[in-house]
Amino acid sequence: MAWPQELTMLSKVRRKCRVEYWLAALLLAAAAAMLAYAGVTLLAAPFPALSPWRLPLAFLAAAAVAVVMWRVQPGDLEIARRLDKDLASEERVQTLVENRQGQSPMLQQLRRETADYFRRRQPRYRWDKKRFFAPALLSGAAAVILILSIVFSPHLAQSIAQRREVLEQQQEAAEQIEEIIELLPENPLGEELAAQLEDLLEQVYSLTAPGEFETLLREALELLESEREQAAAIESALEELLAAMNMPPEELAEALGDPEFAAQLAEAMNNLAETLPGGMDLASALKELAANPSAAEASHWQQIIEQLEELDPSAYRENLQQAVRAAEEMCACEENSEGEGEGEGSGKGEGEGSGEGEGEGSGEGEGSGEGEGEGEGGGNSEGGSSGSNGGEGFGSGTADPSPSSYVYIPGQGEVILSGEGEPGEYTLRELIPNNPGLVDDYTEFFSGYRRQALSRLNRSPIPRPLADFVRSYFEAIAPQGGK
Amino acid sequence: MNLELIEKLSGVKEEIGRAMVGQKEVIDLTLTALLAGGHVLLEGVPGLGKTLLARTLARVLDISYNRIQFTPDLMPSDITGTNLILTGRDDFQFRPGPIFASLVLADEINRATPKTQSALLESMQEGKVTVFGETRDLPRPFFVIATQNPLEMEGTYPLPEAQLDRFLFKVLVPYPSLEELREIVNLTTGTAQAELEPVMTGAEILEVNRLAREVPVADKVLEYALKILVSTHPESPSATPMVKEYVQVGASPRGIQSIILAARVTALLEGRFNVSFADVEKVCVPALRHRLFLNFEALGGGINPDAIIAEILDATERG
Repeated sequence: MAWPQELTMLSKVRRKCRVEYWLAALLLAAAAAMLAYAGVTLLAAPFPALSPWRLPLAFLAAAAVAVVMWRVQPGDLEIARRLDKDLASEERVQTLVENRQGQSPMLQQLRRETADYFRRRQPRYRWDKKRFFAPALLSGAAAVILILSIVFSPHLAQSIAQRREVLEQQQEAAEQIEEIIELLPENPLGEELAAQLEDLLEQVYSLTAPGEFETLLREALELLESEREQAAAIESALEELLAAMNMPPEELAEALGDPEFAAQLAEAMNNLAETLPGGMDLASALKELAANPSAAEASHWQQIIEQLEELDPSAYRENLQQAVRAAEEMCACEENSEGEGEGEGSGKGEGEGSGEGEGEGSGEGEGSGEGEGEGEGGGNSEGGSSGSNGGEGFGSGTADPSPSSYVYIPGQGEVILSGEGEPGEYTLRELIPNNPGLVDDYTEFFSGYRRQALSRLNRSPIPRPLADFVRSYFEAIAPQGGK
Repeated sequence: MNLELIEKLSGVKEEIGRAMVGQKEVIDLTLTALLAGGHVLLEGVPGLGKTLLARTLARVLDISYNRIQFTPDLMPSDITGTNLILTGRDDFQFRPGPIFASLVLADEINRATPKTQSALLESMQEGKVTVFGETRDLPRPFFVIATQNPLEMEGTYPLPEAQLDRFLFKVLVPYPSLEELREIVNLTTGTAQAELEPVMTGAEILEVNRLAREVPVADKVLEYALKILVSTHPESPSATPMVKEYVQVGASPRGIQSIILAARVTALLEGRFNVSFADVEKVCVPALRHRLFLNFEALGGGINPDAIIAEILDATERG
């Protein structure tokens, strides 16, 4: 409907009122767009397919707000009320707008009086700052949320991807361990191993770092290998015991009257009991028998023999061998444990050489160094001689070791020194050629240490962060390339 | 539209101001009630100018005036008039009572018995008097100013709530200020007496009454008045805490009629042709204070209706 003619002097303030409304609406639309953009940006982290929809959805949100604001925009009457309030016109404007169609003398008088009123008082529009407060606050908050979403969404996406990867790895590792458990032969000897593997399976779902899965699988593989070695030891001890007991139980009971045979049999039983898993009843029964073998009756020996025959460690070992092979095939760690390592080294050395020869010839020696930070090298030597036959020469050289290269060698064994150095001036590398038994292969004792440590972790109530720390430690000191 | 009539209204106030010192609000509200076609109950101690106001109004408006002093032995027929047998005649002849005037001052109305009060109040409502089965019209305009003393309650008959509802306004007449007292003394104890001139006529009052009903009221203003009235009802969701605690019965629909009609006249008296929020607020207290019936807690706690209405006005949002 048209604005009453008598209120044309208010057209300017009316227009400003509308402008004020649409400015506030613009802020709201901007806030909606920013919120939509931020929301879709955050959603795009787990659902990357949404990423291209950010801008269209932001525009859509802004358009929706604009449409809503258009639909609820103030009409003439609302503006009239607002102007009455702002201009303190004692409800003249709204009364006139409400009755714009009326023609009664009173309304005509009202129109004249209202026109006079605004002629006397020039209407001035006061911007309602409060109207902008909420939209501005909302827009500011939306802008902050937008910035935060843009900054953090890559991190969020990365975190979600990592989480997915961890879940997948958890699932994969769990499946692999379950498969290993299924491969285990049904044998009393394998109960403890199965329990240990079940423990590992439970641990899978608490692992988060990718390296931990590899460690866990390697641990499972090592458990199998250890169990295989253990099974071999059991087989050997069992063969020894059965060989000693190779007679009917009655005769066995009588033969135990011989103290020497009894001692031999006790030793064989103790050996087997030592190799059997600690939790087995048979192990404790063997130990009891070994303490006083002559006290047992023939029927008891019969039971023991039957139990020993049930063990069947050779079959168990063969099955374990198959399980290990299968596990090695499925484990990614297999590659690492048997892979090649890479290393770089440089050497620098000075040497002196001497040559001997007969006839004519030339001698040449060559050395190469490898290592980290150690001065080691070969020296070239040439020995000139004269003769009809070719000569042969050799040379050796030593480099000056740094003080950090000195190694204290514990033990009481004799160490063969060579060369010109005094005791206490040799490097380990210099000693090893003449003393091959001086050090063990790192890979051998490392795996033993780690197995023991991880086995203890599985059986003991150690806090999770501490257990992780131990695992990380062994991960860090794991041999690289077999060195 | 007769604009001169509107202009005369300010002349009425000026002329009354010549005889009455101070009491501007009392004069405004009384004049408003008169022009709205309603009646006024003035409450105040004796000597504050209530009778003078009535007399002055009658003089300035050039209408007939009667004063009735209400006493316990006053009979209804003493007000309405009665049929008399006159000497030499064999039939009754009606002798009109003092109520047959355009402006009636019912002084100390609460001293008369309820029966007598009812006779007056019925006439106020109907604008007619029935004596011996014969109904007679009262003069138009017909306007009653009733007074009552708030202090001397012994031997009085307080007006029942239903009767109070018939008054458009209940106006409290305050003590004059020091300056006003000085002026009153100078005006009334000297030789000079104010000679009042009639400014309007009874017919013009009726015309103003008709015009007032044409003054438009904006929707939001009417809504505001309605919200105020509804807020006087204790069971209303918009009732204020004081209303819920102290009001037994809120204002009737006659209350909103009174507010809007009086607000329209107020606008005209101020030279406007529309009703504003301020007009409504101005008449709310006198139009509602005698329509709120308070409970014993309010009476015991000295709570008066004005405080409750003020709280309602504070709590009710305009528009």
